[in-house]
Amino acid sequence: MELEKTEPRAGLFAFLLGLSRKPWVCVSAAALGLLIGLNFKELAAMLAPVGEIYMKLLTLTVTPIIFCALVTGISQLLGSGDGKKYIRRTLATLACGTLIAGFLGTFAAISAAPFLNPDAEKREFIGHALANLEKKASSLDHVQPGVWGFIKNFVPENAVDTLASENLLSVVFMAILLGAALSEVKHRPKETAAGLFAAVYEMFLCILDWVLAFLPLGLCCLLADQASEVGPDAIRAMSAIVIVYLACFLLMAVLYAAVLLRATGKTPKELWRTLKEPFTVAFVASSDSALPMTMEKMADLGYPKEMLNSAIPLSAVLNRHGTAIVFAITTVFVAQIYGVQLTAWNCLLIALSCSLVGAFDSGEYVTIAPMITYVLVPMDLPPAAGVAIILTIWPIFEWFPELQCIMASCANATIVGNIEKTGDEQPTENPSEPVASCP
Amino acid sequence: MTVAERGIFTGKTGANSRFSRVLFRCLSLLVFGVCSAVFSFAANGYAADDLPVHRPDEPFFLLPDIQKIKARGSLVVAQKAGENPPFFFLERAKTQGVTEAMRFVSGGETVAGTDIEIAKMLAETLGVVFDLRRGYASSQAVVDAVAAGEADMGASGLRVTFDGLQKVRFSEAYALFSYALLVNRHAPLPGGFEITEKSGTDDFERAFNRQDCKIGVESRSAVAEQLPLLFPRATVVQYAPGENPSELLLSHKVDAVLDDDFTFLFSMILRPEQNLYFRILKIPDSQERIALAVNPHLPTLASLADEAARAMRSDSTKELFKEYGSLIHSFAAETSPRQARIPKHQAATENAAHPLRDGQALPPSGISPAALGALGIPLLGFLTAWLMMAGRRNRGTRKN
Repeated sequence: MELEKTEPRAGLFAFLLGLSRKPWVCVSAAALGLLIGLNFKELAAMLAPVGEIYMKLLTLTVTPIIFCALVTGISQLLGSGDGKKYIRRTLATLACGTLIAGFLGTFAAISAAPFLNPDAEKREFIGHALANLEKKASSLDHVQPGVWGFIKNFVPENAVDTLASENLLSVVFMAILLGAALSEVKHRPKETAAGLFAAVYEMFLCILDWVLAFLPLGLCCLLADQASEVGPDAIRAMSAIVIVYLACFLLMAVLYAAVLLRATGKTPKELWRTLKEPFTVAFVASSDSALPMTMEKMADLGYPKEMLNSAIPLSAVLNRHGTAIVFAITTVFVAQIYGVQLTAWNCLLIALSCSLVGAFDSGEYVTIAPMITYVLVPMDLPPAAGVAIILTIWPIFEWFPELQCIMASCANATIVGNIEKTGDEQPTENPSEPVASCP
Repeated sequence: MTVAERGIFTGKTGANSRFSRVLFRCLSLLVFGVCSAVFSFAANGYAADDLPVHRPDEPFFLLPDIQKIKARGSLVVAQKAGENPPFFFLERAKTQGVTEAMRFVSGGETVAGTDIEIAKMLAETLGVVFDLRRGYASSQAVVDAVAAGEADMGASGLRVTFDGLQKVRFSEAYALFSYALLVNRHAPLPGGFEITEKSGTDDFERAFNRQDCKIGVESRSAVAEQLPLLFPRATVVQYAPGENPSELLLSHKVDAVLDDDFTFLFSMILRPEQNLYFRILKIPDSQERIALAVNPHLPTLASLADEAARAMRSDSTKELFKEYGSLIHSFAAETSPRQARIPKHQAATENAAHPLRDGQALPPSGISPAALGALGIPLLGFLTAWLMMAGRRNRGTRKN
């Protein structure tokens, strides 16, 4: 069952929606927010609740959209002839991408070790951040130590509670399970269930559209508040890590562009014209809110929806290259703080563990930061310093990991979508067992 | 039988007659006395404030210890040399949160703090001059001075000690702290135990009340008295007053250092980089009292000190920080060792010496060719694999 595409809206709302998605409008609103945040702190504080409410509205649609897209996408992939091939390729692509990020981050950090050099001012600043972090103490509570603790973090206790939880990993885990189970269900019940997921997806997409109509306003308020909280001290003390990360981001951006151009066969101009909207929304708002738009635009490039419905959400959730890079740089920096000389073996271990943790992080940076514990503890380094550093630096450049996430998702999707067809099998469902798909 | 029946005033019997005469004489004397008093007051003029009980300002009617202080005209308060904010410190240009009540100008410098506020309040209550005598070498010296009668009371952020209790009368506490252990972040706790925010007394007992656990404590301090009570089995390592306990921790000569949580927190505020190396573990259900020391021969002053302490009381370090946080932080910002050591503009270029081991530099953080090789080769492999996977253009399921 394929739901019909929503009719284009007319009038003021359509105008607002169109305007709000224009990159120049979003970027101008973001710039205005930054200006307010840096120069008018009182006004920024007044705008903060508006930004907070807007962010809540934006995120409330994310979990159901990712969940429904994954359930239908996985069930369709597994039901199709090329399903196993797609899944193998998705896993290979995701693994390769995250390993590149982890190794590149560690390589860059080791190369820039003299530049990172934690001098007295940096140590003093991080010490401050650490003291503030420990006042809140609870931020480290939800991370369970050890390998089993790591797995426990995303295996939900209750299937119904999963959707209410903030842990995107457990949402993905549950969606994959449900998608796999749905592919085993036959005939009418399968059609009904798939139709329900498709309808829920469409409803939340509609809500997201409404929310995105006010994107420039929300952005201005959000960034004003954010900029007012990031002090110049933080930027000065943490500039070395930020610069190394931005250098890695640029390298990865070139790599994503190369992959996209090679895989799609489009010109850079054509590619930018197609993907500029999701890239802008990801950069100025968040990667999660750009996901539906990304799937839509990638479909315009000619990739099958059933593949995009699984590959893009999976990639967005399981392939956070930005996190792997930031974790790697932070780990090398923390080792320097504690005077630990890193051997080649240590570096390999850091790269591998950052790749793994980067592949399984999810959610807001406040919840991601404690995951560096899994990288630092095996290196016999105190984890609290790493958490404090990430919580300090992330707000300075958090737009870049979001953009990186969507760029990586597009690159991964093109690689997965370039699979060779096996004989006459089609990637769509058997006509005798029609299944709904998310538009 | 009623009085009338008994004939008291009728003189019917001999006994009654004698009783009547005695009574008559008594009444006559009473009437005479009252008349004399009336005439006397009428002659001299009556005023209520002439009655002795209504003249409290006359030394004769005050309790002897207060009478002594008032006769002297000053309340002598002993205080340690140095600074211990928010209790007592020298006010500087940028110190925030100092009220007029906390301030006292003496010998060209402005001494401020909560101890000054309490002592000033007491002096004002007694209507005498506040005489602050600073410069005592230690808390012990302040207590000894008070016990010897050199000062009426000591207001110097004094901890209540067993030794002090035998010499002076401590007031009620005006600040309550918890005992805490400072441990090295980069070293496991004794016995491999983990202590978190939620750990209880039992967890602390298991980790630290062991013979193989060495706990450092400042010799002859109030905390040194408490250590055998808190962790009787632990091995005590005493260090001299003024010695830096962080050195002991970093060199693994001790597993933990005992003091109160305020002392550790203040030290961390002065040198924030210490947070990177050390962790403060607050011992649950432990309490340290900060009080005024009063000469034991001045019991009324001690009672007044109790009242003042009760009015100023902070029940925990957190509460103290809530009330005097801006004061403590601004003081730290002006006096931290780093501020004193290097000008701000030089801070960024300062050499990366270990902050807690003066002169010992960190291992050089140079580029390791072996590490670069170990990372670079797999990185190239993954990049090639990714680009190759992307290379199968237009042969897949794409619709165009």
